Amino acid sequence: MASLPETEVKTLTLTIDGQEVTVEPGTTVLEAAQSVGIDIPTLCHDPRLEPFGACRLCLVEVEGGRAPMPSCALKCGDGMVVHTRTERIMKLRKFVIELLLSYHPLDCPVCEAAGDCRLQDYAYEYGVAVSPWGWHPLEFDTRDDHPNIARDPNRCILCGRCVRICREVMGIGCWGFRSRGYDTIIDTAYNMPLEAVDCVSCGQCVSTCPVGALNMKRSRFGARNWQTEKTMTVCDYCAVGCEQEIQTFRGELVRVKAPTGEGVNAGNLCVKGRFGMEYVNSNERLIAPLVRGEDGLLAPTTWDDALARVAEGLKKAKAAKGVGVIASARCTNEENYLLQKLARTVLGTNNIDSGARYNQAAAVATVGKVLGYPAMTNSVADIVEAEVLLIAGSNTTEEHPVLALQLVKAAREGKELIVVDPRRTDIARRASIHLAVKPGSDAVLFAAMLKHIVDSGLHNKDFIAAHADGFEELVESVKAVTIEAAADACGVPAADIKSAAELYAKAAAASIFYSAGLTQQHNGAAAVTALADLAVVTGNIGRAGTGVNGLAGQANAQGACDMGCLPDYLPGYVALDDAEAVKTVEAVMGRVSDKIPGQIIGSMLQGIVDGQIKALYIVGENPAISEPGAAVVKEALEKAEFLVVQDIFLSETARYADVVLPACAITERDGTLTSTERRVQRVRKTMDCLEGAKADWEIVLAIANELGAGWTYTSPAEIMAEIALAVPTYAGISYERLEQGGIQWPCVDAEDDGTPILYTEGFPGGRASLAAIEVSDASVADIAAGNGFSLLLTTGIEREHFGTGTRSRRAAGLTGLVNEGRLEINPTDATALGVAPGDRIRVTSVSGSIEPVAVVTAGVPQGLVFMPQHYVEAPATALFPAQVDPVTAVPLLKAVAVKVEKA
Amino acid sequence: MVEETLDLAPLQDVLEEYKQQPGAIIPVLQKAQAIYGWLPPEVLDAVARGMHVPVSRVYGVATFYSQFYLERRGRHTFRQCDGTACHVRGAASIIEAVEKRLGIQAGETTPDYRVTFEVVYCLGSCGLAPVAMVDDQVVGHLVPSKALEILDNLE
Ligand code: SF4
Ligand code: SF4
Ligand code: SF4
Ligand code: FES
Ligand code: FES
Repeated sequence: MASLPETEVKTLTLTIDGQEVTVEPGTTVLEAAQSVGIDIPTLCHDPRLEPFGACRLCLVEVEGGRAPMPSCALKCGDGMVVHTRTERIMKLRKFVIELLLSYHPLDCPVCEAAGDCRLQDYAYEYGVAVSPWGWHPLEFDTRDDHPNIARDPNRCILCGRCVRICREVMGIGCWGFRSRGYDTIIDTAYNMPLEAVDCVSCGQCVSTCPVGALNMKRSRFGARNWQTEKTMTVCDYCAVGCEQEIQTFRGELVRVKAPTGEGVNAGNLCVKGRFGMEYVNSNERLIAPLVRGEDGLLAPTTWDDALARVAEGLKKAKAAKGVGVIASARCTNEENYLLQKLARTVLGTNNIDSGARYNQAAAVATVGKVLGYPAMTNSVADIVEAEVLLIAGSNTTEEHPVLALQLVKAAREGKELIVVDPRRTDIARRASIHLAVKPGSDAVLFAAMLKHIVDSGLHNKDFIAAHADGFEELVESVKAVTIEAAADACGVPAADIKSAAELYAKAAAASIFYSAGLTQQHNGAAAVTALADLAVVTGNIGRAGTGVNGLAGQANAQGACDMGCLPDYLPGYVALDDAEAVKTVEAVMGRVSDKIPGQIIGSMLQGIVDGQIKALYIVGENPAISEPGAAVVKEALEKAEFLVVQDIFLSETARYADVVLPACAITERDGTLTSTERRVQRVRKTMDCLEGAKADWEIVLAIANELGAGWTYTSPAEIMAEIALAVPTYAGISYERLEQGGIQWPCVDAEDDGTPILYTEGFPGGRASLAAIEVSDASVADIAAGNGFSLLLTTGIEREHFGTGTRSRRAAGLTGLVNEGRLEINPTDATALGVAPGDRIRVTSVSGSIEPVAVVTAGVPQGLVFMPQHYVEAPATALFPAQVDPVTAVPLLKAVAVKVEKA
Repeated sequence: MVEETLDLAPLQDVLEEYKQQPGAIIPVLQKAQAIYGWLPPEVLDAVARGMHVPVSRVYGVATFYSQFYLERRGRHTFRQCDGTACHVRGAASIIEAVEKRLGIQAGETTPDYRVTFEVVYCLGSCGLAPVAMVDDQVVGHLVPSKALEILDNLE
C-alpha cells in the first residue's frame, strides 16, 4: 500500500528551570514542563480545551521577555529559557490566589470538591489563608433543579472551563458568562433550567470545574475524594470503551470519574458512563440462585442445588441434541470464550450466539468478506484526520457519544460530514449534506454513489489494480443504476447524491461510519457491503482518516464475536468447514464435536417452539424484550423444557426461567472487553462481589465441571492466556501487558504494540474482494406502509438508556432524566391524527401494540415515527415480525408499518 | 410577555450582511436593537442561529454591555438625574411624583409600553439641576408638576 512520504519532524529544545526539554513544535511551555515533571499551577487550563489564558496562575518568565506569560497558551520556541518559580512569579501567583479568596465562600467543610479542588490545593501550597483585601463572599442563588448537576455560583472562579467544554468539546454551548464585573456569573441564556436548553446531561462541565461550583449532585455528601477507593476500569454500556475511575466507599459505588488524558476518552464520558453506573448498587440485584418450584414460582436455593439442576437439565437436552446457548455482548472476553467452549466441547453444540447478533455480527458477512477482518478498520484517535466523513445509519451523538465527540470536532474544524439517516439527528444537523433517505433505500443510495464515482472516473484505478479483485463484477452489478431512479427510490435530490459521491471520492482522506441503522435495516447487508466497496474503489482505506468503521453496539459486541460466540465460527472467525484451521483451534480448546453451524438467537427460539431445542442457557441477554416476533419469543420462553438465565437482575427473560443464576456486576469482576476500535482493555474488580452472586466466568466454569469437564482455570488472566493461543489476533495480549493500557488487535506477539489502523500493509487475504451490490426490491416493498398502517416505525437507541434497560433503568442518574417510552412523530402527522405532545398513544403493527407517550418533533420526517428500544412497558421490538437479514442474520428492527391513534 | 409575533425578516438582512464576520456579535446586536427597540429572546435566538454561535454566547454579550436591553422598552424614556447636584435641588420629589403617576418603579416600563422610567447619576448638566432627559432632550430646572406635564404629553 502506498506509504506516506516521510515528513521531517523538527523538534525544539528549550530550558525550563535549568532542565533541557526537547519537544515537538506546537507544544506549549506548560506541556513541556509537565513532560519533565515540573509542576505549574493552572486553573483555567484543561488539555481537552483550547488555551484560554484567563486565570494568570500559570505565569512563567521567559529570559529576554518583558512581562511574565501564561505558560498554558505560550508555544515553545527553540532555545527558549524559561523560569517557572522566580520570586516575581511566586508573588504574582500568590496575588491571584489572594484575589480569588477575597470573594470565595470558603465553605470547604461542606463543599463536594474539597480534597479535589485546585483552589484549595494552591491556597495551601502558596500559604494563602486570608486575602489582604478582606472577605466579600458573593451572594448568588445556588441552583439544584437538574437531577444530576448542582450549581453554586458563589464558588465559581470564572475560569470559563465549563463554558468552553460545552462549546468546544460537546459542540453545544449551554453555558455563558452573564453580566460583568462583580455581577459576572456563569449561566444559561435567560437563566433557563439546563433541561430547557440543549443540555445532554453529560456532566462534562462538572468534570472540568476546578472548584466546587459545579457538582455531581447525586454523590454529594456521599464520601470525600480522599475517603474513596479508586479503580480504573472500562464502561460497560456502549462499545466506545471509555476508561472510568470508579470510586467506592464502604463497598458501594459513590461516583465515576474519568482522569484527564487517560484512554480513548481522554477524560470525557457521556451521561451513561458518568451517571449510569449506579445500577450496581441497586437493591434489586439478585443475591441467591432461584429455582422454579412445584408451585410454579421462583424460590431461592443454594448454589449447589442450582448447579446440580442446571447440569442435569443441560445433560438431558444434550442427549436429545437440543441445547442452545446465548452469550452476552456485555460480558467479558474470558466469559464469552468459556461459554462457547462449554457449548462446543462440553454440550456438543454450535448453537451459540450473542447479543452481538443485533448489529456487530453483520460485520462477518460484509466488511469481513470484502476486506478481511470483521471489525472497525480505524481508530477513534484518527477520526479527525478525515476531510470527509460519511456517516450512515448511526445516531452517533446518542449511541456512541464519546466517539461522536470526534465527529463533532471534525465538523467544527470545517470537515465535511455527509449524514445518511431518515431522521434529522443531532449529527445530521451538523452535516454539510444530510441525505434523509427513505428507510431501506441506503443500499440503492450507495450503489448510485458508486456508479457516479466510476462514471466520473473518480475511482482510484491504481489502488484497485494493485489491491482489489472483483471490480468488473461490481461495476456490472450497478450498471442499470441511474442517479435519477436512485434519487426517486431514496427520496433525496439527485444533485445531493452526486455531491456526496464527489465529496467522498475526491477527498484526500475520507472515512465511513455506520451502525445498527444499516445492519438492522432492510437491505442492510447490501448497504454495508456497498460501503466497503466504496472505500476500496476510492482507495480510502489503510490510512489515517479513512476506512469503514462499523460501530459495535454493546460494550463487548466485538469481543463476543472475536471469541467465537457465533453459530458458524470458532474463536478467531475460524469457519467450521475450514478443517485445517479448526484443528488448530481444537488443539487449544478441545474437540469441537459438531462441525455443522448452529442456530442464531431467533432460530433457537423458533427451535423451541418447533420442538428441536429443549434447553436454553442465556447469559446476560434479554431476548424477551430485544427479539422481534414477540408472540414466538413468548411461546418459546414458556415452552422451553429447561431454561437457565444468568443475570444480575431478574430480567423479563429471567422471569420465565427454571433456574436463575445471580451474577456479579461488571464492577465486581476482572476481565477484558474489546471495544469497537478493537481495543482489548482490562475491566477491574472495584468492589467485592455481592454476597450470593458469582462472577459469570466462575459460574460457567462450575457448570462445565458439574458436567465433568475438569476445567482448572483459577483466574480470568489464565483464560486470556488460552485465548491468546486460540485466537491469532490476540496472540500477543496478556494481562501483564494490559496493565500498561489497552491493545488494539491484531496483536500477534509480545513485541507487537497492536494495530490502530488495519490494512496499512495490504489486505490479509492479499487482495480485497469487491462484492457485487445486490438490492432486493422485494424487501423494500415489504415495508411499504399500507392497509391502514399509514406510518413507518423505526427504532433506535436513546442517549440516556441502553439495551432493554436492565441496567440503565436501574440507575437513578439516568431515570431522573428520562424514564418513559416516547414516540417521536412529525407535527403534520400529529395534527392529522389529533395527537398532542404528551398524549398517551397506541401504536399498532401486525405483530403487536404498545402505548408510549407522544413527542411531536420535526426531527422525524412526515410518514415516519421513532421509538427507542429500552422500555419494557412499551417494547418497540414487539411491533416487529421475526425477520432477519438474509445474509447477516441480523434481526430487522428499523422499519415496520404501523398505525398510531390516541390511546 | 410579547403577544404580537415578531417580524424577523429585517433581522435576516442584518445577519446576511454580517455572514462573513462570525465575531461581529456586537454590531449585529446593535442593529437588531435599532430595529426592535430591544432584544427579545426570539431575536437572540435568531442571531445565535444566524451567526452559528450558541445562544448562551449571544446572551452573554447582550448582558455584558449596558447598551443592550433584554426587556422591552417603552416608546419613550424618562431619565431623571439623582446625582448630587440634582438630589440637593429636589430630584427625590420628582422621582416620587413620576413613579406615582406612572404606577411603576424606577427601572421599569409601563405595562402599555408608553414610558420607561430610569434614574441616573449626573447627566453632566448640573448647572440646570434638577435635570431629566426625556428621550434625547435635556430638560432643566424641573419641578414635579412640570415633570408630570411632560409625562402626560408623551403619546
Ligand atoms: S452537562 Fe454537558 S451538555 Fe449539559 S451544560 Fe454540562 S457540558 Fe453542557
Ligand atoms: S463553574 Fe467551575 S468551570 Fe465554570 S467558570 Fe466557574 S469555576 Fe470555572
Ligand atoms: S460513550 Fe459509551 S463507553 Fe463511553 S461513557 Fe458513554 S456509554 Fe460508556
Ligand atoms: S492556566 Fe494558564 S492562564 Fe489559566
Ligand atoms: S447631578 Fe444631575 S446633572 Fe449632574
